[in-house]
This record gives sequence, structure tokens and C-alpha cells, in this order.
Amino acid sequence: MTKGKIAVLGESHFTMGFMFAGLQDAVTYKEGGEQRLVELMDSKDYSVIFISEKLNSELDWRLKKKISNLAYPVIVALPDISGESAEGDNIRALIKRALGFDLAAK
Amino acid sequence: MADQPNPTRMELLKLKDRIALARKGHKLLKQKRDALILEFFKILKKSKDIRSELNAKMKGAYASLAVAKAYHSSFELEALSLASARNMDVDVQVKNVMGVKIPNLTVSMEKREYPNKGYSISGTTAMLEATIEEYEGVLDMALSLAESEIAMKRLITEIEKTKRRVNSLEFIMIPRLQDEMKVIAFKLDELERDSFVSLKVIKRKLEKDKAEKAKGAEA
Repeated sequence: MTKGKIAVLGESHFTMGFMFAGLQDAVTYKEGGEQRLVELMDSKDYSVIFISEKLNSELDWRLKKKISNLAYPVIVALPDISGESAEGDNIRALIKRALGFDLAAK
Repeated sequence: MADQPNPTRMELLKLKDRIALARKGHKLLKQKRDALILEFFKILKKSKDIRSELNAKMKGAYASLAVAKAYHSSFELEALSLASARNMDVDVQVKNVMGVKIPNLTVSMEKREYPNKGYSISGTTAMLEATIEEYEGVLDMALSLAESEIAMKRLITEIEKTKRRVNSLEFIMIPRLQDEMKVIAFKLDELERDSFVSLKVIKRKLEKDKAEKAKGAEA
């Protein structure tokens, strides 16, 4: 069992709301979000890191792959202010490919 | 077929072993796949549509934050957001399902009631309060999403991989090995018949020679 804190990483409009919800480990950045994410991952203080969908789409594929195989910390992309998330569709497509039918369709 | 195997008895035995092994692996992988799918549906039931719900909720939260921004200056908001800290810890337990590592989150969060929320009712507007409440909801949801979505993603990737392996064993590996075995068995039989016939021929020839010799001796 590993205990850790929650961090938010994103642009200021993304992080502010979470700060209101009580998260104080919010990292706001203008540039170099990827670098920040790696720092957060390596610090081992955090067990959950929320990142904005925008940052997620900008990540290097190698880092993305690493994240998707990592059990700890848990890194989740949340929708940006622009709204729609690609992540949900992503999973749906994966399910469709693996199981052979679209679960959302029923 | 890629390459012709040597038609020897050794090769035949080897192939037999390989087929047995492939069958065993196939059976195990099939079981693994079924177990993974079972686990996947368990999680799916729990977390259905959580993503789209969260999307909708976050949209609302963004909107109310924007409204709050209209009422307060952004400096003010920043200062207020810094004041609304609360303790929260997340325990991550890693569950291992058939080699797939799934995080299990236990969140211990401080419950906040009004006077400890970091803002004063007189100094702020109701918009801010609504925003904070919305974001608290978003946070709870995002945490449950974090757990289930990652689990789902990993499971589904693993299911796909396993499925592919099962199919490649079932439809490519095993039939190919069986074909090879058939070819070898056929060739071995052929060789056997061949040598049998040539033995017969030799024997007949020898007998003929013998008979001729005997005739010559008589004459």
C-alpha cells in the first residue's frame, strides 16, 4: 500500500477549480508541461495526478506508453475547458476492437 | 508452408511434443482470456458512462467558474483558491489480475463544512460557493473515474493481446504443426513402403539367382 497526495497539472483555468475543491498541489504551467509531469511522477509524493486533456494529447508517445503501463502513480486525463474528451472515445474504440462489439451502442 | 521439415522419426517426435505444448498453452491462454473478460465486465458494470457524466459535470463546473470569475477579480479568486486547502490522502493498492496491474484507490478526504471552507460568506458571492461545490463533486467523480478507467483500459488491452495469442495458436500455429506432422508421417510411410518393396525385389532376385545356379549345377 502506498500513500500519496493528489496533484493537478494543467493550465491555470484547469487547475483553479481543483484548488477550490481543496487540492493544493496544483502545478500551473505555460510551457514545458511534459517536463513537469515527469518531475511529478518521479517525486513519488503523489499517487494520483490529474492532467488536462490538452496536455495528454501533447505528450510524447513514449511517455504515454510508459504512463499506460504504470501502476503507480495513477495518471488520468480530464476534459479541458474546450469540453469533449478524446479519452472516452478512445476506450470505446478499444473495447470494440477487443470484444468485437460496441458496448455503448446498446 | 515455410520450410519442409526433415522426414525423420526424431522430427516427428519433436513435432508431437510441440503440438502438445501448443495445445496446453492455448488452453491456458483461453482460460486467462475468459478470466480477464469476467473481471472487465465486473468493472464495466460499476463504471458505466462515468466518463460522459464527468464530461458533462466538468462542463458545468467550468461554466460556473467562469461566472464566478465575472463576479470576482481573478486575483481575488486565486487568493481564495489558495485558502481552500484540505487534507486528502490516497492509498493506492495494486491489484494483480492475471498479470495486469490494476490500481485500487482508497481516498481519505477531510469533509469540509461551511466555516472551514476558506471563504467568508460576506466577502464572496453565491457563485463562488456554487463553483466550489461543483468542483468538489467533480473531484470525487474524477477519483472514481481514475480507478475504473485505468483498470478498464489495462484489462481491455490485455484482453486484446491474449485474444490475439489464442487465435494465432488456434488458427495458425497448431494447424501448421499438424500439417508438418502429416507430411512427415506420410513421407516416413512412403519410405517404409519403398524399402519394403525393394527388399521384396531383392529377395525375388536372389531366389531367382539361386534357382538358376541350382539348375546350372544340375545340368
